[in-house]
Amino acid sequence: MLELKNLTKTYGHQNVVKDVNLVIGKGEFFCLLGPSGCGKTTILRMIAGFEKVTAGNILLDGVDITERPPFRRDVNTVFQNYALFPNFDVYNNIAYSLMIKKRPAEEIADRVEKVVRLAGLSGFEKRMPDQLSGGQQQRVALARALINEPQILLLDEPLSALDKKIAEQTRMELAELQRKVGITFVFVTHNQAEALALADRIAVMNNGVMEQCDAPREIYEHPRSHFVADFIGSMNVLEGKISDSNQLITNIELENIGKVRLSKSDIQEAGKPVIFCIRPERMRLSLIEPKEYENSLKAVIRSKVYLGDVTHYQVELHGGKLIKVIAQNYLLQLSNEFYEIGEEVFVNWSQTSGELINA
Amino acid sequence: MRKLFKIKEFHLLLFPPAFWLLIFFIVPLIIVLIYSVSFRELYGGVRTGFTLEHYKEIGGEMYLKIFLRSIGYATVTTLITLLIAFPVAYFMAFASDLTKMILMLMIIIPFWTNFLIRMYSLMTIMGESGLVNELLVSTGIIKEPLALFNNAFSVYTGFIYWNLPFMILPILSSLDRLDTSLLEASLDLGATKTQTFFRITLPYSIPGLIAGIIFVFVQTMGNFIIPEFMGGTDNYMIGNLITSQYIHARNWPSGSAMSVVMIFFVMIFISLYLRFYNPSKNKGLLTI
Repeated sequence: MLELKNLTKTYGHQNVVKDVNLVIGKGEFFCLLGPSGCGKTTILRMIAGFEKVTAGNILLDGVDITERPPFRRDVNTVFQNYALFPNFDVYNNIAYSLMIKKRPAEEIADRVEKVVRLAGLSGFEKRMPDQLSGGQQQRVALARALINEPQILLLDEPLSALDKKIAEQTRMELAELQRKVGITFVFVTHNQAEALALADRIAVMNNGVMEQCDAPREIYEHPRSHFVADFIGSMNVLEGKISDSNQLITNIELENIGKVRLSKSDIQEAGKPVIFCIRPERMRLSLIEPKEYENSLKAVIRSKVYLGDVTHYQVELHGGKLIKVIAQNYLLQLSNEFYEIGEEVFVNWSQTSGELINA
Repeated sequence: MRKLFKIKEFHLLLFPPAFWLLIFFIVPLIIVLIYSVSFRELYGGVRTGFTLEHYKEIGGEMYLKIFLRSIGYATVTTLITLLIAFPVAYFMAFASDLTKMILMLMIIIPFWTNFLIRMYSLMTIMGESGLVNELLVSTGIIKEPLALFNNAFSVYTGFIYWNLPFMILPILSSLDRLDTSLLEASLDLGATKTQTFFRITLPYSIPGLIAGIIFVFVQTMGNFIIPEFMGGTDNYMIGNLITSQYIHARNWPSGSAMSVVMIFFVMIFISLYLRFYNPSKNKGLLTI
């Protein structure tokens, strides 16, 4: 179990990581997600021991490792550029940590063979790093870090240097590998698709602050801050305030746009400014008046992008606000509904869809 | 991608340097070779022919002594220069950009300054009534001035001072290319800083190290100005001998023979280097 307590990192006057608290469970696949410069890599480097901690503590299984040098931590890293030793072949790269520990030669050979097989590198032992493809180099880096069976494996954007196709394939292999070895993975990425696909839990970082830490589904369905709502997937963000709220229903007055209704059980204080968020795929376009249990806004279609499986519409609401609506082309064909630019439509969605975020 | 030049056009670019090397390197070398087996005329002239007498002379005790001394001086100079230069290069490679630039200027500016001026300034510092002795005597630390000059000590000082940039710069350029994430990876995999140094940093610096050793050894071997300026008669080196054969003794064939022998030694040294490190392979690393 890895615990970060009030972890803070400052460079000069700049707070790169601000007071992060986090508990990562044994065997968890944990993702640190955020745009570049959000502090996610700095957290990783502090866990590895490459960066000094300004304030706070790092605990591994209850033991404070904050001040330990990297070589005294039961943590290994897969670097973004893989950092394979160019003067060693694959075998010696993987065997490096065991040779440092002066393990007997037979033991080294045994264990190297095991991870080589695990990483799918059989037959490549004698190759030099510059004779390997990006995907193979990544697997050598992985094998080299796993041979120690560390408590925590840190992965710094390990897929970002690969082609899209290979990255997606490697992603699946990585998930499978993690299940097989059962080691805690802490994975840093700016790629939300990677995070959503791989992680048991995701911590979304912004400007050194941890905005939200939840399971991927929670992060996507129930973002708890404006940043998370905006950063993950695509989201329509509308400002407004609470008109009234009871146990079943909350009515929201959107600025210049109109009224919407949300059936959520938490009671909100009337008059409170809020942000109403709704995913484009949760909305649908219609020429027909809405059902009474639905929300509906009048809109004009401003642009239309056909993408094969879906069509992205940009529609203008009353008051000039532009929002995005994604329609499944299959459903449009079934109902024989096609909308053209300039057409007046209704944008409808269920009262159970959408999220409220404090403004 | 379209190639910038067709190979044949590209080869044309090789002509000027090839021509240059032919005229100013190969031809003089051949002349020296021919002179070394020619006969000496009475008043310093050279008569072509074939004789090995000048080579036989080199086998004489006096010459051999100077020869061995030259190799000894070059070896010791190379070693001490290496020991001083490596930490400097290492520090510079990992220093901040500003520090690196300042140190680089401190190395390069003297390097660009006229060699003779630098030798004279060393003399004013180390001479019998030079800066060091004046200071030590006037503060009463010593009574008599130290013999810092016209001996092996001053020759070594001159050599090391002159050679430092030639050792620091190649080592620095090797270490500069060392990706710090390799060092982090090594620490991450359980190696201490010392182990990381010997397993990663040092192997990485070897091409530069070898280049520096060659530079320093070769040019120290042939140098005659520093022993002339800073040494006494006991510090004569092969370079001085060759100079005096050409200029004072007016014995060009003998000087040429000595030059040939020296070039031969230097070539052995360089071929050893090429044997262990091939600069045209861009790997730039020795596999240890």
